[in-house]
Amino acid sequence: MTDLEARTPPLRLEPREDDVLAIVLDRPGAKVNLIDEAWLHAMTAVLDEIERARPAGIVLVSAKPGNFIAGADVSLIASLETPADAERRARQGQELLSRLEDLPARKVAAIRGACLGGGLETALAFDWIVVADDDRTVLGLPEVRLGILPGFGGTWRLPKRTGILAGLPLVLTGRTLRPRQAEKLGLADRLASPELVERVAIAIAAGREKPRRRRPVRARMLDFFAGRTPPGRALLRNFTEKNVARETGGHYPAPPRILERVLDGYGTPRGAAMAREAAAFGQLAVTPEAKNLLFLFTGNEELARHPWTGRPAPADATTARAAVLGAGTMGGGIAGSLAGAGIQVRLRDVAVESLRVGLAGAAGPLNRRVKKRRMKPRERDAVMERISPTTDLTGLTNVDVVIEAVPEILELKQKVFREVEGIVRDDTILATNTSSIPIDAIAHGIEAKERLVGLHFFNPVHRMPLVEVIPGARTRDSVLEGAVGLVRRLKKSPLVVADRPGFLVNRLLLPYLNEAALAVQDGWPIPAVDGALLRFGMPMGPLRVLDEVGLDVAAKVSHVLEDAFGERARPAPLMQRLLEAGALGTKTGRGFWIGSGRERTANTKDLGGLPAAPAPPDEEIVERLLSGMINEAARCLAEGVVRERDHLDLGTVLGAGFPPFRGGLARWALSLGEDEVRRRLETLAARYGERFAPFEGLGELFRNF
Amino acid sequence: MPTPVILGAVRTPMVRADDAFRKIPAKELARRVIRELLDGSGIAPTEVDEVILGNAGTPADAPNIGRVAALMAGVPESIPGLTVHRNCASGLEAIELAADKVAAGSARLVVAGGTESMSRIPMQLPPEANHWFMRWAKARKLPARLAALRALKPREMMPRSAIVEGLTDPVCGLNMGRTAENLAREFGISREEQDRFALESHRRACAARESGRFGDEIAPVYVPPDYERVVTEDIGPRENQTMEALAKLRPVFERRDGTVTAGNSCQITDGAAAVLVASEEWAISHGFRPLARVRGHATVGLSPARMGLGPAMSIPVALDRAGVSFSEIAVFEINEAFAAQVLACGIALASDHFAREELGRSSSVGELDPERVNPNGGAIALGHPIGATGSRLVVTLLAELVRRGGGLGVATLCVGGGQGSALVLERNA
Repeated sequence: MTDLEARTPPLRLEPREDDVLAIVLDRPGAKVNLIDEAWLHAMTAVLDEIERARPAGIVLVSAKPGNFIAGADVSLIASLETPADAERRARQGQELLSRLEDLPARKVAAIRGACLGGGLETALAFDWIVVADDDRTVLGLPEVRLGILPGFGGTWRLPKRTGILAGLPLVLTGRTLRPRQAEKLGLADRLASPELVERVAIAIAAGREKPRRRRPVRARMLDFFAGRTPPGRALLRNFTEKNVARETGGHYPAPPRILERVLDGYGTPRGAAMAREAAAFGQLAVTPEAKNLLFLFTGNEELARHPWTGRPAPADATTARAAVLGAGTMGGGIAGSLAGAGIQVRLRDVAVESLRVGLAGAAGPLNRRVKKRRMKPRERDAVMERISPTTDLTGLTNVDVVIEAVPEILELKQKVFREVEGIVRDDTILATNTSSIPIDAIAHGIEAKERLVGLHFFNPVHRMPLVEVIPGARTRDSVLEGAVGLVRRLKKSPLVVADRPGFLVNRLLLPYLNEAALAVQDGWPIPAVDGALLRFGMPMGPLRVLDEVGLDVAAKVSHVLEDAFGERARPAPLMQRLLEAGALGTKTGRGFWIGSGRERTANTKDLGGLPAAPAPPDEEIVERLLSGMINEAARCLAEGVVRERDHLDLGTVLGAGFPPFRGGLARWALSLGEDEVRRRLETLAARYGERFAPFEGLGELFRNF
Repeated sequence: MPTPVILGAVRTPMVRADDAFRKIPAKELARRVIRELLDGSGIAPTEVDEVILGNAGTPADAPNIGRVAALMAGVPESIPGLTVHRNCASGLEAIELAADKVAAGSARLVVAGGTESMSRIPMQLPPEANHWFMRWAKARKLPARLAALRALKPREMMPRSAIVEGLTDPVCGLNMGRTAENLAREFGISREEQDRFALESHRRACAARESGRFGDEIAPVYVPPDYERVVTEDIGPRENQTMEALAKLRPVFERRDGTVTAGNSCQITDGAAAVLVASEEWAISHGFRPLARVRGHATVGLSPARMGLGPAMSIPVALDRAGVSFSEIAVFEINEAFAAQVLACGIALASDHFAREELGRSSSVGELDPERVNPNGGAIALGHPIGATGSRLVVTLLAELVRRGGGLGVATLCVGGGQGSALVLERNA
């Protein structure tokens, strides 16, 4: 930031016609507006000025294209240390917005671009909200996703405007709305084309136009019943509490507090509601859960930084054409992801039938969205039209990137790259979606070593946010940078990891999954093992993960890790037994479990003859399964598989399903403390074997926190 | 003057109507072939100067389907798109127009083709039904509504097939099949000759399909939106077709004395085809070996009641313009609208009388050797997606010329409404 920028306030007052003043949001030297210290300061000054000028109308506009207000500055929230401190901050913002709300003028917010969190709370203090009807405009209160609640009056003003039945779910889930949805729910009073938003807002502020706020009588009556009558409130509270408990497993403190605030605040005077909201914000802002979620949020942004310079690496904007080689589950998913980002894809496989399966895989998630009316058929078609299937090697001359996704066979991957490296341009990035073969091993067999990079996508591609980006020894910096940019273009998180066996996620996941299989072998009941980890906060138990991944696939990765790390990575013999019995998991209908959904039962048929042990308590199961994972994480850090400890957390949360409220594997280990982790490992080593022996560099994991 | 050449050619499988392509609109079929042409040849879409598509059914949501399909295929917005309609010859017209543009220097590279989904040509309500709906909409009060209801004549509300309507000539009032009956009588072509011709069409198409010959020209179609099916081969040619089975069919157009049946007429089919037309200079400077040169073409008019003679009328004109003689032509792709009509063309071309009376020539054009006509079967087996067929003939002809190692070829069609069109291509050995 230059000196001049530092002295320029993030918002200013400008005159408009007809005695209307415009508050122009324009954070100097930035692409988005944020609510931070300077913003609050400047807003106070602007309010003083407005109170003196007494205009007939006020409009709130943003000078940033595509952004209105992105929300509060997350680092500001993260810096809050005590509940009292946090509460005071919330009060400060609340008072400012209440002062704004009380101004004797027609106040109109002209929203164009993303308007989130504190930004939407600010807009809610205006009499009217005009919203641009374009694709870049979204509105919402996503605070719950950071483990906090809207602390600038949002829990009170949003339901007041939309009614409690529409407002409560918005605050509770943090869901964002597109302009048309906002209008339907009564959040937006009027939609206008983006070029006209400000003009319409001025017309309303000047009193020349008066939008009619019309919510159907039926909706108003329902809201009255649910929000203002004792039986209605009890019903709503009961129903929502159950939903919240089911969705969060009781691990997240924010949703119950939000429910309480919205429900109790509905229909009550502003003053009391604000005080309670600020108090609740104060308590939530300093919970470990909030701190962890805030860390993951900022950490995710950090991942986009350039691996060496630390500067933000921009999302790729130049890639127009890509080729995906191999149209299996992964290839199809990757092609769909690329096409969804507006990239033309040449999808190649040797067989027409494989291509069909790949296309079906790419279309599956889109079709489900169309069915749920979250996507228009035309939008789906536009994505699928970008994928051009072929069985030959044509259509590659002009691609910016090639992503190989053929089966995990070294010679096959090398062959595929040798086939295309002479055809593509000499600046085309060659990416391999390998889960277990080292990049350098593949590079060994091809000419264009410096253009080869690993891009490890996870299954299912459309749902998994993480992509491991793996430079080989010879990978050129610009190629790594391009790969990171491409992952960002796909709206996924790029995690740069070293070219070591299993990279990061599989290397940490396998000891955990393998230990689960070993526990079953010791007679621990399958439902107890999976249940314990579910209750720990994992989205799926480890044995079910093995079933979903497929035991054959898991075995392949296991062997790579065993080859590299020996004894401690030896696959559980039980897995081999299931493999031999043809029980490969979900795809064969049986693995550790049989069947699916509610019908799921432990597979006793293929797993007969195991000793029957009573189900150990959850803590014991969690200790046994996750301690080895911590040990391995310490090794990854020491070996430089990841550059920073934070990356262990991001990798495990985004790639392995580690519970976000725990902040990731390393943060969870830190919360236990080095001594406790060491004690656990030693106990486990004594009982189950040397694989648990504490890594000599374990202390590094706990250093300087 | 720049010489127009053809660089690439591809088509979808030809699939009989209401089958695998039932749910695929014509624009999507066209998108598939355009995209495959560009990807398959490695030509960047930015190099294209124009996209021209033939289409006869004019889908309501894509009247200028040439433009719509081009955008869907990833052709840049800055490149214009055009749709041409000359009934059955629309797909040929697109290529001829592209060649003319290249020859005139107003384009260097054009995507030209045709597309048709006969499955999706809608049923139409007659104008009387329109009128009644308007009246109903205006009738607000009960008496007016009752009066409107009384005026409702169910017979007038019957939907009519736009295909049937489209295949009836509005000038002479004859269905296309009736014009074929006319020719059968005029040239004395028996039912058995027609059936034998149809059987041979199936035999040749099946042989081509079996041998995989069509594999070079077909881009498989993966059926959206769930991609549970992929179509790699034509659906239409019948392996087990016999003379006996053909003989059992009743004449469609003249129930009592007719000879034209569903079996010896073209099938109603969905499909698309397209080629890349470029100037020879552009092709060579960009490192492409052209598939063939466009030597010349001609479109002529004739009596709508004898429209089936279109090829016989247009071939000699096209050959004259191309400066080649009839005997030099190695392969003819003649659209098989009706067996009677193709056979009539053969008789006409060989007839001195016809040459004098109809063509203004002193002697006959020549004998049409059946071996050189439609060596891989024709529309009786493969079907006739109206706006696409012209392009399909060219794609198939090019593949055949490549297989034969060069030579001259003609693609020609008769056109409903009384026209004929022919295009002469040459592949250097």
